[in-house]
Amino acid sequence: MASDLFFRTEDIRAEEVLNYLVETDIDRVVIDRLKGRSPIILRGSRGVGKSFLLRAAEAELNREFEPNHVLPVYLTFARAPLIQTPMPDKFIAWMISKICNRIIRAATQRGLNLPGGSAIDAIRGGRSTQKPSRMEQIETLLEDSWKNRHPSVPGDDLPGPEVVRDAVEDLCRHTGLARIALFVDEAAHVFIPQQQRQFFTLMRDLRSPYISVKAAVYPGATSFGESFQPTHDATILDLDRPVTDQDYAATMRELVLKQDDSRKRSIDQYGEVFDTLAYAATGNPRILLKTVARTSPLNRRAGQETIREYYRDEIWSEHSSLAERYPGHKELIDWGRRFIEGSVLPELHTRNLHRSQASSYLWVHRDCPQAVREALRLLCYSSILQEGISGVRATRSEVGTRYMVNLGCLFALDSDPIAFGALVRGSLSVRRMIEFGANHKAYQPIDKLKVNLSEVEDRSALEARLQTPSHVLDLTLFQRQKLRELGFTTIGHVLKADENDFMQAYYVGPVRARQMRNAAVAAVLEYLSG
Amino acid sequence: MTSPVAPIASQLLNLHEDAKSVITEAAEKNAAKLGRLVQFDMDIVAWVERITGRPEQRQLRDGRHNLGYAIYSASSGLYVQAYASLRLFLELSFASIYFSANELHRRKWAANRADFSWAKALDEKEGVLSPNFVREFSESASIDASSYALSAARCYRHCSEFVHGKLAVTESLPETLSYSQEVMTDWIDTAIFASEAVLYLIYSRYGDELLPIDDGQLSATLEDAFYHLRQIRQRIGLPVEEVHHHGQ
Repeated sequence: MASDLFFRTEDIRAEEVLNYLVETDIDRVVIDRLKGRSPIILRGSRGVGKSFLLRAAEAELNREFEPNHVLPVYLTFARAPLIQTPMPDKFIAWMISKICNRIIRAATQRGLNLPGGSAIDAIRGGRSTQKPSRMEQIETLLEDSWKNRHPSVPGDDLPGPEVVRDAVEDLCRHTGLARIALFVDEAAHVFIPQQQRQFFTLMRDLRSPYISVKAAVYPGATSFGESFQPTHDATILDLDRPVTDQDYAATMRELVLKQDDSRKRSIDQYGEVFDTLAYAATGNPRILLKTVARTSPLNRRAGQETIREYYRDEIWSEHSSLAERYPGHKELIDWGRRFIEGSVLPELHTRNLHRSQASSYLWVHRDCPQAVREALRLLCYSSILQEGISGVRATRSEVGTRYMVNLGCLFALDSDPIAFGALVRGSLSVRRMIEFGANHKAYQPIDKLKVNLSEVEDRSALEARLQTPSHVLDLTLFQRQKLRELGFTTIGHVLKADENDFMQAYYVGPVRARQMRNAAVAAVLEYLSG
Repeated sequence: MTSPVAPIASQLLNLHEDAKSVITEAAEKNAAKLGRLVQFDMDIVAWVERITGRPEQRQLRDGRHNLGYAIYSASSGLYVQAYASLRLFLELSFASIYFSANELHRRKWAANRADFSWAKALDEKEGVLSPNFVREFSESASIDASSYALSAARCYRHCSEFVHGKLAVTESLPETLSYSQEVMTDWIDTAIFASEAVLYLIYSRYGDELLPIDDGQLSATLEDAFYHLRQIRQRIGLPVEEVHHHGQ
């Protein structure tokens, strides 16, 4: 009898993770980078395997502890919403105390630290000679603070990231550790944007030779803030599993069989059905495991049913529910769905029925409205799109970004998803794509995205952002000068203006005007939901 | 002038010197596993110290003392004694949970007017980690209780074999006070399983009561030890995924 499959890495004991690893070349690169010294941001859609790779890197570092002496520390910030800490300093205190707690635990479990009050102390009548370590003292102080146990400690006097950095250095020097690799899972998933910004500022401030932070984030739903520059303060690794890889189907098969080899017979018997499910998952192991688990027994009819149910309804309802978490982005989320369901999928489906080379790709001009890019990034978060290479040339040598549309969503459109899936995966070509220029009519109405302050729940951060001088915008000196000449001195001014307003300035045509507006939209997008 | 050391003391101190070198070797070669065990112990104490004003708190503390003696004995090369103390740690911990729900029996037992079957409390089908018992205190904890009941029962039986001098297991013991990696590994693995089961036992008995007023310390113990269990993740606000049941 087939057993339950683990959909989430969290279901697997940390020490057993390596038993389930089906290692691709990409996985190896990511794991090695996660084990390395540099700060890393591991970016990928939900279910693509970020937690798994963090855990795999942790397990390998534990296995190789002798002779490397790198202490892996895994923590998740998934409990953040449960913490009632409206004050920013409380939230930082909570984050730092949690980091300290996890480091202390990891050191104890390695035998590098013996906290007071152990059973060994107890048989000596509690006569511990051990003083609390610096890390333990910091943890206690910060815990007291965010739990309001000693509200008299003013926020300014609380230990900050630099004190933690020193404590980590102390720990390393006293125990012979080379460094600590801190794996932060769910780094930005559940925080409100303001908290996400605080986390990334902390990540930057923790940087030292003795601690390297690796954080898992989602594309399109992460606010880095102003002080953390993703490309300078960390290396970004995008986790995508290309379906065009030669070993793709075999890897996906192995991934399921590693968890439950009793399925081998049925998978061999209904290979086409399984392969269609594997391609439909578009490189997302959790979606594959979920859809395989519900296709019971594995046969053609059940496969068709699963694809229709999951990719026509469930994946979309998950995407739409994002609007509850990011209410300021609702317009973008809803537009993204309409765009893919209305303009992209039907077109791809029709094309694939009539052409020798199949496609599941769209291309968007690099000068498209910023709001469109953001909406597409949110679709990446939900695994409906996969962001491909930017700087791809399309018709008339125009440059833009290629996205892959989730194959399952495409298969589900057909009356026979299994046969259609086989047709598409057999002749999929990245060179075939639907193109959307800089001013495509499908971009309406979000091309004129207006920021409505009254719809933003916690608008203090957004208001501050709108008041920020326009010279901080990511534009050329020439464009910034033109904004000043036109009297658009704050980001708020630039945002309210129309592209035609910018073209009042000399030498500013439609392309530059679009770039100016895009820069303003980009600067406020992450503040839309608070 | 220093007073002469009695011959018996001298012999014992010689033995103590041997034990010292065993401790050094054991701690060096098993640092990580001993560390894991100590962490379980620290997590257990976090719970025990919150069960205030109840008679079972004392008994749970006594249980932990025996875990301390067990760690000391195993690290010193006193292996049979280490298994015996570990067994006592299991017995006292399981008994205290049983008595927490059977006050009359506890009083009779304390007054020496009634017997108590240690083995029964640890029985995977009828003991205090059987789903039937656990369900009355925590519906969600009963989901995974049987696997820890089984684990505790196995540890108990294994320790008993040493206590009763069963040849199959005692054959592996060194004849003199000396270090044995094989026995040490077996003991620590058993002790880790036993303390994990005791932590689960205490959570299943007191979780519903204590977690709503937890300041984060108790959920941190669960997050560390039982992160892989969905009901625990759900309870402390960590990610879970709906399981799709066939035919639904």
